[in-house]
Amino acid sequence: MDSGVTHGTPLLEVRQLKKYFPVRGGLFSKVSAWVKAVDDVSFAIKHRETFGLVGESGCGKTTVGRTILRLMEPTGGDVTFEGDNVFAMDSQTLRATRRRMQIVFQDPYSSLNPRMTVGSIVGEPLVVHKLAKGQARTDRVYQLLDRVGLRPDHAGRYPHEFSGGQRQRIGIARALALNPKFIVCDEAVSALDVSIQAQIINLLKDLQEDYHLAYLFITHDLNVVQYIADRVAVMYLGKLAEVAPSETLFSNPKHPYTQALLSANPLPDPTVQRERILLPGDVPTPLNPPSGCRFHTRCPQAMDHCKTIAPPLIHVGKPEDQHTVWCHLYEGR
Amino acid sequence: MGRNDGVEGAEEIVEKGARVTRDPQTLGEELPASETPWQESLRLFKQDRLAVMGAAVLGVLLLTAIAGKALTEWVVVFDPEVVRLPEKFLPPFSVASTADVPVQDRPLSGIYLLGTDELGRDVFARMLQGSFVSLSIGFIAVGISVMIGITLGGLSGFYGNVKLGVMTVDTLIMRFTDVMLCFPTFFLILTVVALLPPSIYNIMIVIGLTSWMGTARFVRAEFLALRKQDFVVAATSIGAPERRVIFLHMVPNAIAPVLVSATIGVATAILTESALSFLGFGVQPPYATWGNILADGKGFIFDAPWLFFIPGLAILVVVLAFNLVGEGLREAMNPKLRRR
Repeated sequence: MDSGVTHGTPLLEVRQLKKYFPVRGGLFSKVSAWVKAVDDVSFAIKHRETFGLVGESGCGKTTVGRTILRLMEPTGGDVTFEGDNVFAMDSQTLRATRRRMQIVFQDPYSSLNPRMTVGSIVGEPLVVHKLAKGQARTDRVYQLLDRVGLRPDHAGRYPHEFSGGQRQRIGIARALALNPKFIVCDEAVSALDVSIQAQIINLLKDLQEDYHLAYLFITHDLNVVQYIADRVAVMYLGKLAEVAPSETLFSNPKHPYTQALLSANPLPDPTVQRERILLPGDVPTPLNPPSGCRFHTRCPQAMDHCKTIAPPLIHVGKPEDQHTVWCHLYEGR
Repeated sequence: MGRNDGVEGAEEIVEKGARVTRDPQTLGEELPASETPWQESLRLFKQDRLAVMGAAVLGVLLLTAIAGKALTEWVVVFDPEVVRLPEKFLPPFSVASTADVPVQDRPLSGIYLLGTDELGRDVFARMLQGSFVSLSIGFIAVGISVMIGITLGGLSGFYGNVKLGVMTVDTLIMRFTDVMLCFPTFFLILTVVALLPPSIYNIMIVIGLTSWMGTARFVRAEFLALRKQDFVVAATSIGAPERRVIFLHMVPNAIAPVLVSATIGVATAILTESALSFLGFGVQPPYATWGNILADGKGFIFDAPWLFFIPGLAILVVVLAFNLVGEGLREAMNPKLRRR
């Protein structure tokens, strides 16, 4: 797949990722249908890059993130991380590989074990991988807490004693403990209020510089993704619609869905008038997705063959942008 | 710095180039004294006056049971088996006559605290002996049932999707649980006890083997909910092995409702044992239990009502105390009530 091919070897390459959930029903729980949460998604993430993944609720963003880390078993496809095929690993290799790829969760209230102290939560990765013991482990935990903006004396406390923003910092410290190369931020700031969001985003940016991290930044917040992401992928109903560098995507969106999505995003300046593209209807169910282009039921520019033929990948714009779009409108241009 | 008033939005901060690394809430601010979740539960439990009273009753009962075991078997101060036919049916607080009873058979300080029964045996001594029997049956039977319940419920909740031939582990275990629930438990116990030699150990085991279903369902439900929790996924994502995920992250968070149901389970087991002894299928005479004291007393309910009321009240108070403590624990450990 050349959708996300970059110069030099990418850190992470996702090829034709598929994740279907079975729908069981009837006698003996027979599989009666499949929910195609992620259907044929391909992209690549470079070293030290922030790759934004945006889309509406239920479009499969979170499933992409978790399947890449094999927190869910994939239905099909390949993920190559630093040259290793993640989906082909046995459980031992996979556990070792988890040192290099981590995740930060959306809900800071459920992502920390309520019966463990902050110190043991942050230090647990070191215990699991036998990286540090005794004083060395304590020192490392203090250092991590300090790095994410908390005080070392917080180590003896329990998660319920902290605010949402502080808990998210604890979650980030846990993810950093193993010195990963790649972190999936699964709606990492969506549950926080705006001022705290800004703090956490800046923290993530600082950490990226210091530790040379790559992020897969999953969010539905376009302002956040515009600020933090180098490149952005737009997802609709389990498939990618458009992938482009952040500035290009926001200044010159190609896919009708991206255009509609951007027009729905409120601007901070109330004097600017913008034409809103209103999409008719609701997102169809992934249980029975539309044929052809999945967006054709709501697309203002849908053509006849959109209903039957799935759009191919098309390169648009400047070649160095690697701007790709899956839409019949740009065929033959 | 960086403390935006929330109206400007994230983009504004970019333009200012403000960099916030330190959490402003953390700077120099002292948090209140730390409290573990268990300490918090304990504090909430102490606010429930009925539950604290129940716990006090149980504390007294525990001491009584241990003292009972010691004073009736190890150092025989109160001998429950001494028969004094001239002194039968004496009401509580009667003074033992010096003429009819030999010196070595007289109760301590010469008073029958709770009277005597139809054979002139000291009811106080018999109640002491019975308290240890009741309590040990309660605890051991519940121990067995909780162990079975946690194991089966945990297996079903964690490895539920694993296929075993035509059905999944979950289906197999939960349908077996349903089958067990279909039996009228008490009659099942009666049948088994009628076939087995009637010993205190058999009764413990039988009660334990027939009362684990509730716990299994609890634990399964907790495990199913916990598996989806982010902190359990997080433990997997840092590479923790399965046993660590189960025993360090899931079990401690699933144990609270088990503790509650176990507390109430002890009360149920004590009641079951009393009922069995009352029907004559339980612990056999001359060994005294509250159930068989009650059973012996039922024939003399008008002549010697204390023989009936003393064990009856003891059972009532203990079962009530266990239930109150169980309710108190439920409220103290329920995170939804705690948030208030």
